[in-house]
Amino acid sequence: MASPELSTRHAAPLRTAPVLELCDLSKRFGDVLALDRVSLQVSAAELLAVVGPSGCGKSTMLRAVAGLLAADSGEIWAGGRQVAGPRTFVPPERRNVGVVFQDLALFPHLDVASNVVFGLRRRDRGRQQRVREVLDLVGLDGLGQRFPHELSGGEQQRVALARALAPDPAVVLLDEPFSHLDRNLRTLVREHTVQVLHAAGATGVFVTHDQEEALAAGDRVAVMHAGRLEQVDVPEQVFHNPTSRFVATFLGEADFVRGERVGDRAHTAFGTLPVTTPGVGPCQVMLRPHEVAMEPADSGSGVVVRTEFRGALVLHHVRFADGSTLRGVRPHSSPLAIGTRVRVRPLVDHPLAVFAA
Amino acid sequence: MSSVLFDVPGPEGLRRQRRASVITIVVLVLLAALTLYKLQAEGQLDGELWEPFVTPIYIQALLEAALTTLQVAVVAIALSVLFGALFASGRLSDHAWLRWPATVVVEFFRAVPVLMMILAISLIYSEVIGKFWSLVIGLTLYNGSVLAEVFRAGINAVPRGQLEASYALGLHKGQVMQLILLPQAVKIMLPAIISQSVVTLKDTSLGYVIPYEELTNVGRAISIEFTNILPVAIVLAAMFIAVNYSLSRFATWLEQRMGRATGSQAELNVGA
Repeated sequence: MASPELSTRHAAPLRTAPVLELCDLSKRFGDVLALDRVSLQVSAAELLAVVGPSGCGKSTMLRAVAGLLAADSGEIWAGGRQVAGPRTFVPPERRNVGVVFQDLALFPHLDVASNVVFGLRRRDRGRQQRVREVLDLVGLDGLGQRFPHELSGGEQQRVALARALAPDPAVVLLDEPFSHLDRNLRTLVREHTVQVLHAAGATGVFVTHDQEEALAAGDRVAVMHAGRLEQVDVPEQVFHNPTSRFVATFLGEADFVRGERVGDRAHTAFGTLPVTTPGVGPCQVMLRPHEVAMEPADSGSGVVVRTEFRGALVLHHVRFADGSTLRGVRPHSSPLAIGTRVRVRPLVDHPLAVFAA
Repeated sequence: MSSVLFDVPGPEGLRRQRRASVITIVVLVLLAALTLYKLQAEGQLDGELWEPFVTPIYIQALLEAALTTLQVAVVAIALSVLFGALFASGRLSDHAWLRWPATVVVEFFRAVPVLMMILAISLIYSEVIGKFWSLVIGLTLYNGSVLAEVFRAGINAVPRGQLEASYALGLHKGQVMQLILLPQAVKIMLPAIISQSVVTLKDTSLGYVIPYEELTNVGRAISIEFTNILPVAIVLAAMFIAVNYSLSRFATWLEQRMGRATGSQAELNVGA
C-alpha cells in the first residue's frame, strides 16, 4: 500500500450506504461490449470522476444511470431504490437524477429562470424561491431574465448546473461538462463547479476523457477501458499506484524499468527502488518523468535522443545501450542538448508501482 | 464596417459595383420602355381594353371573386395545418399501427398532382358537397400532406439533446412536445409554413377547371367579353402579388414578434 501521506488531500469516502450503486451492469452494441459487468458505488456527497479514452463506455454508463438507455443486464440503485434491474426500468423523468449534458442542451427559447424551473414540480409553491436559491448558488443571481444566447460559455455552463441541481436530485451526472470551453476557462469553470457541487452537498458522477481533470476534480477516480472499470480509487492511488499498465499510462506518462524483486524492493539498473507490492522475481517498475533526474556525465549509461519543450519543464528522452528508453524532465533553464551523455537517477520518495515482467 | 459573411469591397471593387448598378438600371429602363412601346404598338394600351377595370360593376365582380379566393385559401390553409399536424404526429408516433397508415396517406396525396385531385373530387363529389368544398378539400389533401412533412422535419430538427434534457428534468412525453419541441420547431418551420400558404393561395386558381367562381375564372370571363387577356392577366397578377406580399409581411412581423428568444442551438455554442 501507499504511504499514508498520499491520501491527506482527500478524506476517505464516508462508509455510509451508497447513494448510487451499479451492480454487474452490461450493455452490448452489436459486436461491441460497451459495458462489461460494471460495478460501482458512490457515497453521499462524493464526486466520482469517470475517465477513459473515447469509446471506452463511460458515456454509455452515464446514460444508463440517467435512464436514457436500458442496459442489457445488471442493476442500478439510486437514492436507495432500484431504478434499473432485470424487471425494473424507471423512466428518466422519474429517476430523480440530474444531468448536465455535454452540449448543455439549454432550452434556447426560454430564459434562464424558466430553464431552471422546469425540473421543479408544478404544484411546488416554493418554486420561484428555489430558482433564486440555485441561481444564487451558482453565482448567476440577477440573470434569471436573460436568454441562453445572451450568456457567455461559462455562464451557460452554470445555468445547466443550476437546472440539474434545482430539484435536489439524489445524483447529479455530468457528461464531459467542460469540453466545450477553452482551456483557461475550463479550469476556472471546473473549480467553480466542484465548489458548487460540494456546497450543495450533491452526490455527483462526472465523465471526462481528460485525466488531469479527473485527478484534480474527483474525490475518487474510476478509470474505464473497453467497457470495464480498471481501477476505482482516490486520485493519488490511481496515479501513483495503478493496478494495470493501462491505468499507469492513461493517467500520465510512464516508463517501465526491468528489475528483480526481493521483498518490498526491486533491484534495477538505476539502483534499488522501493515498490508497492512485495514479491520475488523479475518485474517491471513504473517511473514517471518527474521521478527521473539526469546529469551530464561522460561515464553515464544513457544518451539524450530527443527533447520536448513543455514550458516550465523540458522533457528528455534518454536511450540506453540495451535499446530501452526512459523519459525525464529538467527545468526549462537547463535543458540538455541532443547527444549529451547522461547519468540517470530516480527521485523516489514513495514506493513505486510494480508489474509482472 | 465589417461582416463575417463577405469581404467588404475595396475602392476598385466599389467602382466596379457602381458601374454594374448603372448598367443594370439602364438595361431595365430600356426593357420597360420596349415593353410599353410594344404594348402600345399592338393596341394593348387602348382605353377600351382597360375599360372594365374602371367600371364599377366589373370592379365589384373582381373584388367579390378576390374575396371568394381568399375564403377558399383561408379555409384550405387552416384545414391543411390541422391535417398536417394530425398526420405529422401520426408519422412521429411510437406505435407502428399509427405510423404506417399516416405515412401511406401523406405519401399518396403528396405524389398526386393537385389539379387532378381537385378535378377528381369535383367530378365525384361536387353534387354532394358543392364546388367550394371540392376545391378546399383538394387543396387541403395536397398542402396538408406537404405540411405534415414540414412539421415532421421541424420537430426532428430540434437537437436530440433537448429531448433527453427534458426527460432528465422529469418532463413526460406530452410536456416535452408542448413545452420544448413545438416552440422551437415552430420557429424553424415558420418560413416553410408561410411559403406553403402562398402556394395554397395561388393554387386556388385551379378552381378554374371545376369551374368555380374565384378570381381567375371571373378574370377569364371578363377577358372573353372584352378580348383583353393581357390587361386582365396584369390586373390579376397585381392582385395576387398584393395579397401574397401582405402574407409575407405578416410572416416577417410574426417572426420578429417571436424574436427575442431567437437563440438557436448553434448560437448557443458560438456564444461562448
